[in-house]
Amino acid sequence: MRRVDVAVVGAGPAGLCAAAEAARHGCEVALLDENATAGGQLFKQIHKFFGSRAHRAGRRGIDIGAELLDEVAGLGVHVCLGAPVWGLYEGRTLAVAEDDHSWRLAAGAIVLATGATENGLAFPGWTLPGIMGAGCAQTMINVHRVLPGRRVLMVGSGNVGLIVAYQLLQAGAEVAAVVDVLPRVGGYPVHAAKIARAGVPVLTGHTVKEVRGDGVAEEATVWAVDDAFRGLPGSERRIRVDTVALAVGLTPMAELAWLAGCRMGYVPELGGHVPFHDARMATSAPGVFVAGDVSGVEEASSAMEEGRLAGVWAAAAAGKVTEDRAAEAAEPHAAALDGLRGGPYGVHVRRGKQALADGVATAQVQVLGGGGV
Amino acid sequence: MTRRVLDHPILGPASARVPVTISFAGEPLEAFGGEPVAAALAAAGVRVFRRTSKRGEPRQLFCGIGRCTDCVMVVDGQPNVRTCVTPVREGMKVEVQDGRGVWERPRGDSGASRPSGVSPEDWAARSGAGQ
Repeated sequence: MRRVDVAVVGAGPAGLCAAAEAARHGCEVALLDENATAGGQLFKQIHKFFGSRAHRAGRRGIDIGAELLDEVAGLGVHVCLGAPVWGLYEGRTLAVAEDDHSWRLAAGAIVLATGATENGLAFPGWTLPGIMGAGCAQTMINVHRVLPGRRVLMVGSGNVGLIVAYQLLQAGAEVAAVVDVLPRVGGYPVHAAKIARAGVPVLTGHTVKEVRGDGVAEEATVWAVDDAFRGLPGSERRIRVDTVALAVGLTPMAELAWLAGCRMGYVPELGGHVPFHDARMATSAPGVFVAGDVSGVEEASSAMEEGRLAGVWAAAAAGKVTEDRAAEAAEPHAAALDGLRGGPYGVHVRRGKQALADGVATAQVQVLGGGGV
Repeated sequence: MTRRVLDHPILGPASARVPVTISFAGEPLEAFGGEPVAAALAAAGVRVFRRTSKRGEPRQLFCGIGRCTDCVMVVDGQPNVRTCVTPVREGMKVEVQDGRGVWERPRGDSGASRPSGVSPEDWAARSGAGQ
């Protein structure tokens, strides 16, 4: 069995930052990812990020990703790609699959940075070819440079829906409309303005009634909803599209946290079941940390700061840095996180994270599990 | 009009890639080395990757990053291959998957576990479809 000071699962923005920070604090670090390339979803983010300059604002995800890869390479992190982690056992031992064999890795501390997965939305016809996650459409156009369809309906006007709708236009697709069941656009006004300037109608208070087609998506019917989100008969509009992209939220991929016996809570503000964690990103399982979307769905900028925090405190848990030194190194990243979550768009996340930090079981937070590795 | 995004306002022109030829449903299909099977098929306008086992409903892509398994197909005789994360190779044989698919040859089967009286062909069919 191999051993490292810190094992990081997931080489997206959170995992890359965690690995870099742990390595910088003297740890031997293994960074594992099931994909053939590192970077997670950063390499499809061709838009400029928000926040202050300290958060790399004004930079595109693709450039930030390249920088982070250089950073971990320069720090001597062992990067294992094509290596899904399929088990987490006592003694902080990971089971890793690679090609046709499997191996074990023991770690002084573990950082889970496994990300999130796109939600579906059930309506008649939702399984037809041409109906896909907005992130899927984004991967196809920005990474593989193939249009998944020519005329797209975007469902959801949060930042993902708005940004991907705009990027579909940049790639040469037509966006027939953006619909959102809520009465207001969910994403940042600057993204909504770009869509509006491009002449794409944004139908708030609308949802998909059904999608029809002969074996593939050909026509979507959208309709207005009432205060209880019930469709209003008579308000139907038919829209010819070959693609429907769903930007209706993400769910944290917390399987390994469950396996680790982390105390879990259901927090709607954070996307579903997430491990309880404190400001150090420590879960209830000793030596097991979380960072990024698996600890509550946000976006890449906060994932990177959480990754830095988790990396520093994992190094402390592995005994490679003192608590005092760790606290000093963590401070700027904690402050940066507060900055990113400030303002009206951070209210939900702040409330969800606070509930987890308090460890309270409210009507909104059902506590599940307990134990620990 | 091609479905390839040849030029892009942010990403610039597509970089030159090695063309490869795969087969889809027995017909040759042009692809680029290193791209996933799903991207090559989508670029060629293929919209049905598999049919479900109970109702035969068509499926194509959903997550595009190897999570959901909506896009699985039979690749070089092996069913349930996630085409969104499987790169194309010259000469690769890709087919629409029907239900759970059938292994042309059971994986790792040396014939030792095949009961006497069952032909290899029947055993292969059973091993794939009977799980």
